[in-house]
Amino acid sequence: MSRVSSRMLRTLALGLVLGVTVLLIPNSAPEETRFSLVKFEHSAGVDVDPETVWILAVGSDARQGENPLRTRGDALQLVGMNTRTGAATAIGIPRDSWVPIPGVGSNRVNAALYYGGPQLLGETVGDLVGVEPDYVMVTTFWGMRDMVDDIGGVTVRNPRYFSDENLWPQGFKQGELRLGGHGATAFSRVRKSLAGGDFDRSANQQRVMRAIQARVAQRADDPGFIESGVFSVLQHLDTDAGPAELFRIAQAVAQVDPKKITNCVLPGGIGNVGGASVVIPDTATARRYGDDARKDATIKRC
Amino acid sequence: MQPHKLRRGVLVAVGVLALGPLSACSDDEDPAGEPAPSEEPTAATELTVDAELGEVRGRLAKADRRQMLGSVGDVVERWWQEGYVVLGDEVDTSAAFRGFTPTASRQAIRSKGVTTNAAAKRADDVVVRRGTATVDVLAPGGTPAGATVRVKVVMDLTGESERTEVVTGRLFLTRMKGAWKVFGFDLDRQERGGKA
Repeated sequence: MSRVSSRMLRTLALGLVLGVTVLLIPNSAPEETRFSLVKFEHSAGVDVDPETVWILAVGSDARQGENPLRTRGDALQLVGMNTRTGAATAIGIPRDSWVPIPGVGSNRVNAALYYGGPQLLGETVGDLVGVEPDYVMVTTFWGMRDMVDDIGGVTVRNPRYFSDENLWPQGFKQGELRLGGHGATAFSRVRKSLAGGDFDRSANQQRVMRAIQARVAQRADDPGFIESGVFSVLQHLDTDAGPAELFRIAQAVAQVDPKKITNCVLPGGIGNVGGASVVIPDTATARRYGDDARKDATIKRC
Repeated sequence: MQPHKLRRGVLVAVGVLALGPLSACSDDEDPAGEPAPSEEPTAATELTVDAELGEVRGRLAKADRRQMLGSVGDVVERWWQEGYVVLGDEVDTSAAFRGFTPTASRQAIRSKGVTTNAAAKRADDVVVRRGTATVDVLAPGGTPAGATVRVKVVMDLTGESERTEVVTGRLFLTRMKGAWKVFGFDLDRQERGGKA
């Protein structure tokens, strides 16, 4: 409690849950065509404090009318972003991971949101990985759907076919998929039909995050795009971060270098607690991820 | 006249050698009013920079718009004056990036081949032929909180290697301690050769 509360752990919402992205490789088209292009140089950098920003991205399972900040967090991704180097990493936490929740006792990690809101969830994940998030961002199913639609859809690389009779009966084909908000949300939610269950779902969430961020970076040089995104967050979502702070984070997200992205899902075994199936997380690996990535947002190996 | 547009004049030092070759180049981007080529040594000429307001998200009063353009424009102008109007050792990075945060300034200096003419090779002189800056503003509640400046600088370099170089991209600014500061940038520099 003390470690996290000693820093500003803030709840943002939606929108900027971006994680990992594509550095803009801008227009290669010469603007004055009577000259030939003979050299091209690129330079980019962003100054955000702290140098490596950690954001806990949470997908709440709230239904319409429920408070998304006090339900269960079903998608949990701890995202680090080194704003100097453009490196970024995402550590997926299976939602059924059985962990100590400060002041509550052991429970599934996603219950921390229910018991103590984003602050407690941030502490719980921080204790598991050994990295304190600077921000906790909570989104809902419909928030994610709207966000993806707002940015014009995303392109996701799907490693194998899967479907879900309720969420996406038509199935997701293997390969590159163009998804709108509804499709991207379903892609992130399907679990039962995946061989690796929650682990595979967490990896799918990372694929969607990566696609969102690629899209954001691709459009970052559209006039007013970043300003619009931040303004939307400020208008429609509950946040205690200031607009300038959000603006800086958003610009930093757009500068993440796709070549410097590492994504891992925390491994674990299947256990049984009180008759309920849970994930017993590999806490040593969680700490290793944290130690690896704490300063430079890079995990050497999953 | 568009109410959001503020034309800014920048005094830039241009060597006379640069003007000769330029006169042979009938590029349609030559700004109106550029001094005619002269055999007389010229210490300086005026470069007109158009700093104009782009997209605004939120509310920004007319007076605030002008103030915003003025403040952000000052930062951009200083960068261009100290970074692109001169060559090689004449580039003063500490002056050029005075409007940047310390970290952003260090990043810009590390990329001085893009962000200035400090590393321009085989060039004796430079003319900044055109510069534009379009400012997108985030202004929730009527208070500007962040800005993206979309820039384009067109330069003619003369000497052993005669070419046009174009810098395009974006600067990111927020207000810190009352002053607008650049906290990040994303810039490209294209060198073009083989003038017709």
